[in-house]
Amino acid sequence: MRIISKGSHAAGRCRVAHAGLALAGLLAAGGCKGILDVENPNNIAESSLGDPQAAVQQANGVEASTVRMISAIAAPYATATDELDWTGSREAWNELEKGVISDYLNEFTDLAFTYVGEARYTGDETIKRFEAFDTQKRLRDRNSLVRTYLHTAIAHAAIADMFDDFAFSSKQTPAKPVGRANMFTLYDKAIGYLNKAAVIDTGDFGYALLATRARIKHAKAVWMKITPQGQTPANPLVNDAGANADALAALALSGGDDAFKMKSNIEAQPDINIWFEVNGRNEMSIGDVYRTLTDPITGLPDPVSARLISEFEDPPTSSQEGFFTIVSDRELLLILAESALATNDLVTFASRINAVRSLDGLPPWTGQVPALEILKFERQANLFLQMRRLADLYRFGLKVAQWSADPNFKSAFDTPGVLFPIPNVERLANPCVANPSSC
Amino acid sequence: MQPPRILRRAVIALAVLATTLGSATARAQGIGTIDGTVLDAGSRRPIQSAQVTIAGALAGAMTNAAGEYRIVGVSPGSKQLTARRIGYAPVNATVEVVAGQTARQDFQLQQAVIELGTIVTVGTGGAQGLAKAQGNTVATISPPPNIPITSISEMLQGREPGIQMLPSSGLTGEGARIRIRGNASLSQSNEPVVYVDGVRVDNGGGFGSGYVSTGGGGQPSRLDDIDPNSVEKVEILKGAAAATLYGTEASNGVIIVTTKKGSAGSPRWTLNAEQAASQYPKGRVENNWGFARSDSQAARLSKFYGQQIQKFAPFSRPFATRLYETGNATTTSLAVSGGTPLLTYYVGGRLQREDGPFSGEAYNAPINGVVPGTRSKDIANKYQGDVNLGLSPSSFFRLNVRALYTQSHNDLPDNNNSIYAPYTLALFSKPERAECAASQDSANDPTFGIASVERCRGPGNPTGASSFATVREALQRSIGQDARHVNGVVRGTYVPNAAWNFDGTFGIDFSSQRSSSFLPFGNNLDFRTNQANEGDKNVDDRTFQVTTVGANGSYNTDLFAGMFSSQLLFGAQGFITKENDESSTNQGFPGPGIEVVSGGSTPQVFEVFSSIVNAGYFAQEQVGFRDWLFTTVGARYDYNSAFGKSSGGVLYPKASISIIPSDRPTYAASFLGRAVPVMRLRAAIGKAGRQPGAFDKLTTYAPLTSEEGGGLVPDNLGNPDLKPEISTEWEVGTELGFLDNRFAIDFTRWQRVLKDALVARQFPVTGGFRKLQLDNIGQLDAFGWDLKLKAFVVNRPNVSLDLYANTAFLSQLVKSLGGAPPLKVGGSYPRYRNFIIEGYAPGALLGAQLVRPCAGSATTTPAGGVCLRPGELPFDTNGDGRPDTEAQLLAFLANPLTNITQIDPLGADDNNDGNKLDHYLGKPTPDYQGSFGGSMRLFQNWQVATNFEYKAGRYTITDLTGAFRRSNPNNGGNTRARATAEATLLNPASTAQQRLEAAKVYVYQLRGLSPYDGLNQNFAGDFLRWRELSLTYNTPPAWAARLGTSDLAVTLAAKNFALWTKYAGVDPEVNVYGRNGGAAGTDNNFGDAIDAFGFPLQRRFSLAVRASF
Repeated sequence: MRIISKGSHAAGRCRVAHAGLALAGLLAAGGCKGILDVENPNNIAESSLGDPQAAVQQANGVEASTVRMISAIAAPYATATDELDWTGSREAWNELEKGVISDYLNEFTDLAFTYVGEARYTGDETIKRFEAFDTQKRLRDRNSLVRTYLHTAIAHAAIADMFDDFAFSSKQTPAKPVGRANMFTLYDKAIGYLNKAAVIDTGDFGYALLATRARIKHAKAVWMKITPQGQTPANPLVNDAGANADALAALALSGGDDAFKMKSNIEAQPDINIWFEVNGRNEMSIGDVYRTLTDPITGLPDPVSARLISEFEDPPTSSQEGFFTIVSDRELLLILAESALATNDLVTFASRINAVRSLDGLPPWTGQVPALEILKFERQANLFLQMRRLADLYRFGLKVAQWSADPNFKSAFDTPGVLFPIPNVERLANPCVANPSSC
Repeated sequence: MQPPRILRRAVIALAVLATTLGSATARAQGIGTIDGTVLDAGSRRPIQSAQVTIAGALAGAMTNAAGEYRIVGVSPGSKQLTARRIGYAPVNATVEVVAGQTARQDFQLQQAVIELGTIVTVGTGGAQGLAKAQGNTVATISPPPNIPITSISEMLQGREPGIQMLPSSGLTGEGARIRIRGNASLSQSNEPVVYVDGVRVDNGGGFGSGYVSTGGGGQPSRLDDIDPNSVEKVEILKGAAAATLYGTEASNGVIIVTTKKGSAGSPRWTLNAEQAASQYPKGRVENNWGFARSDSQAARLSKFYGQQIQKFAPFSRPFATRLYETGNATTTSLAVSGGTPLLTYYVGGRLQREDGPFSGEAYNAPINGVVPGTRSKDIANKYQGDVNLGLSPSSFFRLNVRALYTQSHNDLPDNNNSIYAPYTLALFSKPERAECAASQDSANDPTFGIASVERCRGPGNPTGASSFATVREALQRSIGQDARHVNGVVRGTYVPNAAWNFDGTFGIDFSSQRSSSFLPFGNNLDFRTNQANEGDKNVDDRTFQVTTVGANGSYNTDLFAGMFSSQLLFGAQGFITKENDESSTNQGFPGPGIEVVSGGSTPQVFEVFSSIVNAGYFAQEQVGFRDWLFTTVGARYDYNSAFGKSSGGVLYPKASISIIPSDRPTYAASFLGRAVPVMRLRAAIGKAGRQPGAFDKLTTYAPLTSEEGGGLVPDNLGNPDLKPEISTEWEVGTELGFLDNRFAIDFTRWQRVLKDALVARQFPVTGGFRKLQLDNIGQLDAFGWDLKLKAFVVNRPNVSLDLYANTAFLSQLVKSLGGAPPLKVGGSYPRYRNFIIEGYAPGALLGAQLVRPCAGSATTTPAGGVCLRPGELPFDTNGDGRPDTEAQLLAFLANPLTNITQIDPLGADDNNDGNKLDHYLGKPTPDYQGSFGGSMRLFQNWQVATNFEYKAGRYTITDLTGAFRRSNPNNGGNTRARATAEATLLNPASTAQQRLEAAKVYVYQLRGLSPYDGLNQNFAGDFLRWRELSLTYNTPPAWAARLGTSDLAVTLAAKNFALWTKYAGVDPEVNVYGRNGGAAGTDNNFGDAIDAFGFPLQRRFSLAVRASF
């Protein structure tokens, strides 16, 4: 598809005529028709999006922008945890490494946020268009809508997982931020999308929809634990009936060690992405904590994190692209284990935990270490680089060795629950951030 | 591609030449000839390249080295001749031509510092007029004699006030950005448009917009494809008041290059040969300093460096300057010109081969006995040819056909702010981190893997390089470009009588450049880099074509018995620009030896196409009163394909007045006439524009690949109401000549307002569109003045002395961004501190400062921010948010630190808004810039010429190189002061007081970079550079004749001979952003005065021989 900028209306013809006067005497070939019409074969006009025939491509765009957003924000997020250690030249990474998360001027959260805004908007707008197509019976492939619900839900949940606040602006029109206390509504919106998707899914996305919904319901419950920020919850464990039900339903569809992953293509990388920063630039390296992680029961190097590190550092194609695990059987089992532990059902807990451990041939947990410790460990090992770590550190009252109590900012060290702020790029462009009452 | 077409053209041209030369000889029978000499009235020396023309006819001739001219084929009768030469007052003479005879007319031209009689270009297509009739100035630059000029960039450097050539670094083959009177746009390109003989040319450069990157510097300019030897003169229209008739895109000024043409006469050959040596000045780069932190480290380093190294005792090595060598360059050019009354010709060629002063050989150490080699080089070769044919089938019609062709090749290392640049990595290196661990046979290997002093047996890190790569690994990358550039024009001039003149111009400028960047398989020689261990290849192909079509006419007449004169100029002009950029990248070769993009495993491609059509018509009427008062009004009406759907054409009007009291008959006898024999007063006002990008008006979605296939994401937000931004500029000025017009003052005061400025505005990114969107909402104000002083002090047969001095003042202010948020150079990258922010100069520097003393008895800043009360220092070691007292700090420093960052300073937040990076730290453009110099002839044949250039006045440079070397713990942190302070703070043997003093040095002089960006980073950059110095010996004619030449000169020259500056960085002229494509955008427009790992400007010494025969 391409668009042609035509001055085809009357005024355009007039201008063409005038310009023709200017050039007609000059061009031996003569003829002024279209002299000012130039083609733009580089991009696609917005009006073309109204064509349902391009629904698959629009759904692909939602998927691509979602994974691009995750690629971008994953690097600052993982650096702020113990998953990555800073080894490079740019001190804003060091700031994150030290747990200084609340600096709205941090260049990397600032840059990553642009992709966050893009993914959210692309998903929401595409859903609006697809729902209209669907109502008009013009959407020939409803899987496009299912996929779009799914990926937009993932984007919303990721925003709620990582940011203290967010605004739902549209093009030039700014919107006021929802506020920290209302960020749970992004989870609700994501769950709502997944509910709609489940209704129209014909089975192609069954596992992905259920597992993702389980993980988002769990994430919302975790969010409730670390909100308001500033204190470690007395009871960090989550037992969410909805999450449990979805997890069980998803596991029932699973082959045993399944996972729903999204591929971050090298063709669609953001200006910062976690693979390049670690595997290419050497700006960060895998955290020493993870490189030396040992299984608390065997006392031997942990095979799970070693495998995940290896997968990350040596992906099958380029060293600068790979797969993000959105949700996995392992996480679902851990959600179920956690809910069992929350109700002191240690039998079920052991069953779920050991189901996870057995996937890597590890000996079962039989109480060698406290149940909470094995849960924390298995989440740490199995959810490496899946954007769960910071919330887990907060709710379990853990501190990363590199975190410092920087008096200039609210840091992870002394303000559990603090997440990324709306960064400078949005603050400057959106007057509603500084003055919400004006919007 | 082009060469076959060019060859065809050349063959046809030569055939025409051969045929017409014969017929011309026949036609010359029965008509007359005029010849003579043109001499300098003061020195009695011949004047070369003076033009002698016949009034009301197209015929004319140019003098040779002996000052001789010859006009053949002149119809019989009384002829009025005019002899002109830049720097002299024109002289008229009348001569009677008799058929079959030769009339002789000699001229003696008087030097004139004010040249009101000069012919200047006044409109598109080469329309001309008298300089004195123009209300605006037209700066004319001639190639300076006896100064070896290697490029157009050098030709323009330091010649004219208000015109700045901005280099990026001292890399060989690099072009310069050009700025005329600062910035006339916030978002669009600030490069002037350039015409060569009436044809628009590619004023871009760089390595394309795809995957080939250099780190910023070393980027060639397509303007430098013009052979400087082929240039007769360069005229510069400095702004809207002068450039109105050039319309849209002309608001940044216009550069008009006129190339040499032949004149009737026997062939005249000119040969230039130059041999040059180049070097980087070593004295401005501090060695890399470090110190051992333990006895074991000291022992290992002692072995590695072959000298005794003590714990906590700083030592150094010159890692960066080991990349320097002495470069060499050879340039040869040959030109011939001549012709008949029917056909004249100028044919020139030039070969330039240069291997610059960068070399990686010092790091090409063997790895287990095998020398790995290096691929990074600095090469700039050019092969240029130009042909200019003039055909005059009658006395009232002339056809000119001209073609320029350039083929160039550049190689350069990755450079500037790139973590993979060899020079950057050398500057990052910390000598105490040097090690050969990767060469150790075992953990207990007593040799530590060391082969010899500072060399590992195999892989290693012998300079203690940064996190990213060793210098040797970085030297594996090669970056290069091959380019071809063709410029052709056909121009017809029809002069039916003395009143009417018509010109038609058709020309095409086409450039094709192929850039590439290659890293071979297995480049991780030292197991350190992860850039692309299995290699990568990036290619960018850019083609650019602009077609220019123009026609103009003029009608000159006298009214009321000569009391009034009228010149009506009218015409139309348009051009069509098409640019295509295709790029590809790949990495992951399956093995060594592959050097093509298709050899990798993860290909990516990029293509972008743009087309711009601009067309307009113009008219201008100039009325003169008794030849001493001239008024001009004119306008251009322009269309542009990028204006947007709702915008029509745009009118750019102009008006000017020029008054020359000294041309009044009674003036010379007046008191004022005796004191100031030449006086002109002038004023002009005009508008010119700048259009948005070709597709900025459109809301578009861009392709983005997903795992499932191609997808769409928001791209351009779009604005259908976009229109051009318009600069309105006025200028007033005067030229005053004193002492028989041997001393002159030329002063111009100008003011410019840019309204409807296109602001690249960031809308909320939560709205879905990440890209900036143009909006006509800004205002940029500027004013300044240009002052030129010129003196012909002495002009006698044995001695002459000419002096000049230029100064330009520039003040710019971002008046309004229309509510858009401030823009920052470098996007979110915090180390570049240049901002576009309302109320400040564009590019203003904002950043961190230390907490400062409280005012009087206050305990906070007026806004409630932290300030220092008496006895407090800008530290907060106990984290209470208050500055420490000296006693608190001494207590903290009672024990040695384990890491210097334990004493981070307290940054100021004077306005207490939570942003510590909003303190004004200066601006990157100087208030004043200019040049001075002169030339002196001694003992008849010796000539010394020189040029100094300076920038001064609130000129602030961002020294990012220094900030890294002073502050960064992993990369840099290696100056002497840093090593000394750090060693003191960490050394258990230091006293608390010693540590306190070291801590003060650290925060007051060294600490910087995030989150203290701007602290200890911005410094005054004022400088004076001895730009050019040359000594020429013109051999006596007898000597020259013995060698078969008519003119022979030998020149010994030096470029960038010396530098005086308080700036402590490597060079106050380096800048991280290079020419790029002459592109638009905040970074290219306002990323100025950022010293980020650039090479200093080269010193160049040359010996040149020029011979004519």
